[in-house]
Amino acid sequence: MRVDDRRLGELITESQDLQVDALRTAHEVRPALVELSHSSTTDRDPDVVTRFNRERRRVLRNGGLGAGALAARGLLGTAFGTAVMGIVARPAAAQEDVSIMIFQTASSLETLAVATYGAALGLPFIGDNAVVKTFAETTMMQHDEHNKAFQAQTRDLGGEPRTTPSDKYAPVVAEATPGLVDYAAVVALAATLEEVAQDTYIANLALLPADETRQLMASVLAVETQHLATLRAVGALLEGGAPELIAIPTDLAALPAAAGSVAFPEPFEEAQLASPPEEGAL
Amino acid sequence: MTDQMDIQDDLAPVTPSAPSRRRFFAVGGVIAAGAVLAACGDDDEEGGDDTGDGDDGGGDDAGIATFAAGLELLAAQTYAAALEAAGSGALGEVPPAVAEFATVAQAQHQAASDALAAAAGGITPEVDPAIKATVDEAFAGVTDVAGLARLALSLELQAAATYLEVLPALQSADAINLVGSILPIARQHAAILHFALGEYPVPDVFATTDDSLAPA
Repeated sequence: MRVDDRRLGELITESQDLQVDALRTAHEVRPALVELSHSSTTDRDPDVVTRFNRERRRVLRNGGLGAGALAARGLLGTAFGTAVMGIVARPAAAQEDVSIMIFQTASSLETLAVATYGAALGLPFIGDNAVVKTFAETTMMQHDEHNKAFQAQTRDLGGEPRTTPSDKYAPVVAEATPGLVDYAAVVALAATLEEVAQDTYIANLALLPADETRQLMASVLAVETQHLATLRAVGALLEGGAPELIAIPTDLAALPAAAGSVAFPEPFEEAQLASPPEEGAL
Repeated sequence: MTDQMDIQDDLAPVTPSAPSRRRFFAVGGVIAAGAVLAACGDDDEEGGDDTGDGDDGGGDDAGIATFAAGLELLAAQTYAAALEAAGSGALGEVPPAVAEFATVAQAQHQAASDALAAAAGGITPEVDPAIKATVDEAFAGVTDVAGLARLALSLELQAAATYLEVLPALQSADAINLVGSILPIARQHAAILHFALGEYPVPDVFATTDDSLAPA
């Protein structure tokens, strides 16, 4: 594997700076988001509440999530679906229960992601490529910040923050762990977790009320989808037998044409792997 | 970063505060209320709930979709111009991965523009003239692949920030889902552009609305 030691040293320093900057940004942004959300739940605009209630009922009537539909996901047949159907006639404040479920489930996915990247960083070969190692470290930190934001949001809505990993996917990760013997296996597992998170957060957008809770979800979605894109590109280079191209500075001229598009195979991302809101609810 | 490519300083960003969002919607809301829902594949047999009283923000959804359709069209046009420039040799040697990126990104932005235009009631998308002028001026200064990537990165991040800005105000599930399905693509493009430029592909812990755009 080609390694530009000098540039990698710069990259690591740069990355550490980025992490510091990113953490600073996170700490600046999160309280603002939480504060905004708090104000939105305690000082609701009656018109917004009316629109929210109307839209929530319409979502439920239609089966919800656009063409995919909640029913197609089996959502309406679940405990969550039953719970939601039971609250549609109640005021918006009661529907915060749904938002709490959404953020608890999101925390379960973030907690698992942190644990998985942490385990990957303990693998004996992970340091062979400094770019991959830096990605794992940075991504783990970012997921941890996302989790903290979701836990703060859960608390702000009056719920109990979830601190344990997804009951559904933790066994999947445990089963896959013995097979993490090379970068390709690690990337494949990480990409799956990122896609589950991405799809879940896309699906959540239409279930959250029209306030800053939806914006928080979207702001995290925007980062998870970049993790996924990066992993798709890295995975393709590994699969194509070109691990030496996973390097910074990037050797653009040497990259195969497919590397230019493999990270975004579709013009729209669909919530195909979405976890339903009740999946990680406490 | 080349100065001429940093168009973010030249375009007036929308700050993330609520008054700015209201300003955006005041401009965008001139589109007929409910048009977005009619064209979003809404299968609600009781559609009056969504569009009948104008109280559900359907007009806002249509206005947002109209503006976003123009933004996506501008991105598609810019990538098309880049491919043309590459073909003429104006950008020097263009690696295959870069040409592939521009080709696929152009098609995806065009698809997004088409979907948003349909969601806005079947409108013909129009690019905001002030934004187009700024982007055209920046593009005129592009002389190589790095410059093109820098301009493209600005466009992708601004589009994504705009979607993040408007998502909390969208009212219909169809509009939310459409925007929610497009935002990730712009951010995915941005990640690869960061990598192409030799930068860390995911530099932000949280996406922000700092660079979002609104009609002039």
